[in-house]
Amino acid sequence: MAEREKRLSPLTVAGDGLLLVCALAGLAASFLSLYGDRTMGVYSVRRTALDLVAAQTDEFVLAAGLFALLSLAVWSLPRFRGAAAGALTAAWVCVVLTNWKSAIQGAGLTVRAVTEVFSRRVSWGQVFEYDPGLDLVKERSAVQLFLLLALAGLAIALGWAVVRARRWWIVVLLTLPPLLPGLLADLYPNWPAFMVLCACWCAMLLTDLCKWAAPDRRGLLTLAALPAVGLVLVGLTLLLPREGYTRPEWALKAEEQLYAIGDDLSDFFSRWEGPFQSSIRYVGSAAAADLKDAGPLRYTGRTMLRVSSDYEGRLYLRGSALGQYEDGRWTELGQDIYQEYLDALGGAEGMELEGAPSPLLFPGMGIEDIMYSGSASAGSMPIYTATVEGVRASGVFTPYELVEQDWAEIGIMPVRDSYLAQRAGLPRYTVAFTPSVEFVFIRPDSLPEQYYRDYVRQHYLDVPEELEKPLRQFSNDSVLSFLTDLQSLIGGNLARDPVGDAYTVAQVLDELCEYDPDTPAAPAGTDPVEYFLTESRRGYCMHFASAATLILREMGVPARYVSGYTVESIPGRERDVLDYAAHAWVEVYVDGYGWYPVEVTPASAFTWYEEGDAEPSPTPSEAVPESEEPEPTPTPSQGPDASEAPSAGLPGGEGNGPQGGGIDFAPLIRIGKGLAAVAGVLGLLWLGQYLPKRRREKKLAGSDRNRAALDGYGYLQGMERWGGQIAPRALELAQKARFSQHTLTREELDEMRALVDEERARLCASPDRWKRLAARYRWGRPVSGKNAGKSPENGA
Amino acid sequence: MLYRRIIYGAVLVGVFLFQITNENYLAHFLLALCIAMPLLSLALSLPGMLGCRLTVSAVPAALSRKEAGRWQLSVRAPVGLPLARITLRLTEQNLLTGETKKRRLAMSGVARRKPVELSAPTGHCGLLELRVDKARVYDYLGLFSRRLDLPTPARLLCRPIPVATELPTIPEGQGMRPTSGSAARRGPGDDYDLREYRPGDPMRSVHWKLSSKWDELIVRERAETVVPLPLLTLDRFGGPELLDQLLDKLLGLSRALLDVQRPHAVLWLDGAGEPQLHTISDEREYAECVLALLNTFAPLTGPNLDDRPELLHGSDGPVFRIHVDLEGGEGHG
Repeated sequence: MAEREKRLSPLTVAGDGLLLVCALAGLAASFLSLYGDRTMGVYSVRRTALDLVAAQTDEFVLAAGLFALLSLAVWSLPRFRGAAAGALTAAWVCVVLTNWKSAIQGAGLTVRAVTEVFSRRVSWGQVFEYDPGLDLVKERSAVQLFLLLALAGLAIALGWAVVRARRWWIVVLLTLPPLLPGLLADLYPNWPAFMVLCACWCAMLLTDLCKWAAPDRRGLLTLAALPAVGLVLVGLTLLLPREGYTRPEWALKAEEQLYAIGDDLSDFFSRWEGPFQSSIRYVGSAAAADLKDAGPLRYTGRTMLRVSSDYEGRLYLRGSALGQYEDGRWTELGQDIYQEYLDALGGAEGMELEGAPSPLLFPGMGIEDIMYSGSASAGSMPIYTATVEGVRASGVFTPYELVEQDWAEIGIMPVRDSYLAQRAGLPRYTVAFTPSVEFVFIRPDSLPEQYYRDYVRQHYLDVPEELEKPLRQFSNDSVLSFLTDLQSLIGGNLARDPVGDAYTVAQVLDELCEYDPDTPAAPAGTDPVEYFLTESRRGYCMHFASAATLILREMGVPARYVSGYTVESIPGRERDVLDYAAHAWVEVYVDGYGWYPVEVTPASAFTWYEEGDAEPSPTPSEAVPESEEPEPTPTPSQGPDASEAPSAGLPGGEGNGPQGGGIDFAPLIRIGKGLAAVAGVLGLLWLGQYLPKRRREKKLAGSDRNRAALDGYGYLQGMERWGGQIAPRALELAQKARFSQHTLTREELDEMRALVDEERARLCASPDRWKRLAARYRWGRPVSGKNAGKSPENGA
Repeated sequence: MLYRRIIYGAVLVGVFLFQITNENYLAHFLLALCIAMPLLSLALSLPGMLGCRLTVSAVPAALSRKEAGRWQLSVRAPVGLPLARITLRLTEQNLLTGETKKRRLAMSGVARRKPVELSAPTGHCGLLELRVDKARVYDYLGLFSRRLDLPTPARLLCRPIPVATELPTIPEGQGMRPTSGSAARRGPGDDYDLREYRPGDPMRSVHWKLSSKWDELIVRERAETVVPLPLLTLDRFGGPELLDQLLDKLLGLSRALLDVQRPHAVLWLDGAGEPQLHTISDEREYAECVLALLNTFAPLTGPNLDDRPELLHGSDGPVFRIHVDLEGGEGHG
């Protein structure tokens, strides 16, 4: 025990010094490259102080090295190192207190920069809003000061962890958290610097078992392990280059199998209605689409739906239609608003509210003479069926132009004018649709449609007040108004043609904006649609659909945002709809017909994925030719393809769907929950051992020697139940402690402690493995055996 | 090292899942690193693991009961790097009392040739033995292990503490008996017997003067006083405490006899009922007798010497039995 406290050998100091320098310098360079360089690059919105500081990485690495050496010198002192470390810490505290204000400002600015980077890359996480009111130069000084102080403080703590405690996990705990946000957000630090830090971690791990070895040998091992680890890291970097990395095929297959197992389980539990449940429940909700958190698209290639249909061609599977845009977020209008329509309909003469068709099912529901009864056609119109199985994307996704069916039998039910809910536990559903002729079903004389038309004009033309100006400006700048007027004139109809207007808007957006699946999230404090239209002009389907919807509303065309999936249907084949196929588009309202889907995402979105292909097209050169651009007026089931959808109408609330623009953290969260549960159990087990042990040690070390001896005897009695024995001497001491008027001497108490330890060691050395484990857990590991390997007397 | 293997397994599974569910390069690199680290650890540890030798010894090799004795475990590592961890399963046994204690010992960062020392249980006399039942050496991550060659067991003789005992009165003479001493060793005070010549008698022993006088060959034969051999007997069974006391007393008597240069013998029955007779006339024989007393198992109960009276008659003359028990030595011829 005393050996590790004694002076360190030069080899040890050299090894520890290298570890410290690697840890601090690697951390400093990695941190600055992770957050500083990136914020100046493609993800930068404006130059931050951290960007400027990152340009001084070399100076910071040098400072880190100096701090490391200073800390090493203090913690390696043979004597008075506690006092020296205390003095160093006190000096550090004094400097911090002296520069408190600047340090706090620097900390705030650094945290802001880090959270900005993180929030742009990840679809969750809030940006730390902080503005100290300084100019950029002063901000840089504040950040410099904060980072230097942080490095100095970290050097003191790391010095203790490396030189004295020699615990590798403390070193990891001290150095990893600053890098964690960036690593979680798929950012890469400067690789050599990060490898240097990794080398420190790995070398500490390799020398962990020898941390109390003779100092010179320990130092030798450190000096041998560090270059060996460095060689391995360099070798791995060369063997597995980052450039051109794609996830291995086996990982994709394993993921699919893994999720299949998980899905089977979740499917079982989701469909299990319990032993006492007999009533039918419908589940589902309109998911919200949050553009604020929509960062770069990340896909996993997982199957969301499984679709089989006798229709040949592209199907748009509609999920949720969202009509309310507020603070960068699309939500459904809600029951209270929808009630207005129901009230109006219910008040109408001759209308039976219960039997009124859902506006969601226009126009198919408006055709009284087409009732699907299993035949492949209804008169001259062919009827197709689509069977949809929710693999992961639970909720109802159906093609457009549904034919009236027995919805209760199918197990789905329209909810307001927004989405369809499904019966709880329904594995799959089959719906009939007739995507044959456009606008054949326009029924201007339909009374429910007339009421709903009024309702639509009241609520689906709303544009947030703050967006009116930028939308108008975009329209003017892009000669959009001219085009729409021209189209109206060419069409010979000066009245609004909603579908034509929508495709005009789509054309303009295609001309002016760029499709980019790596689009970062909009900066904090800005509206995503405004930012998309006026500044970045790049985005993906969420941005295009949102912008088009609001532009159309501004033009007076009722429109709403829809999320769902697209699939290339092939008769006789069941198609897996992957998460690549998630998509968002626009619905415009056509009087007498209902909601009509319009594709507004540019054709370049085709290059991102093709339904049925597991991988997105890697290069723009593989883009679909011009001829495959969206037709001006696509039929609902034959529209062009596009990118992903922000949310796809999942039951259970918002954010369950393949959220556009972010990393899908759902698996990680699930794994994290599992790990947290395991960690919780382990923690409880540890507490169950640690607390009694601490209590026991405290009792046996009590100032009242008689009491301590009696406690010791009590423990021996406890051990007796485990097969232990009470030595006669222990009984004698306990009797003396209990009945004698004299206090036990220190030697006698030590004797009692030794007897307790001896008995404990005996129990813990039981030949029976389980009994040994149980005894070790209950009574703690025997001190002698553990220390035998560490104590200087026995030379370990 | 089971916990390290479990932790590594958990980490490997976690990294594996991370690689499966994440398309990030970092996940790929982590998985590769996670696989490479044990191999690196093994490569660094292997020379030491292969060349490691273990020896056990006792210091001192013999001592008196309750004196401090130690076992020494020495590890010889051929390379300069420390050995990560050595785990041992030891058995400590008192061959006399049969007391056995199993110990487990883990030594981390073994770097020196200075041996690891463990205290030996010298509370009771007997021949103590330390055996290494199992020994393994681990790599730096504690994931791989190699079984070490087992060293020769170490033995420590824990002798009784001879109790200073007053010797019982041993009869000095019980008649005379001829002896085959040579004429050269005759002394002036020697007693002689006369008898008729028997073929084979050396001519030098013929008492010519009397032969001529009696007209027959008379042989002069030196005679010595018959002194009974002290025979210390004990019933060598019982618990450790009882044996300690018996042996203390026995060796006290034996030592006292040696001090007066009185040859004697010690007789007991071993665990199988076989008689064990040791004559003691010098220190070497004394030490041999002590070792013989201490290195075989003494059961709690066993055969009594009184049931084997034939053993109590000396083959080479009369014996004076001194039975050692806790009540006090009893001597009788």
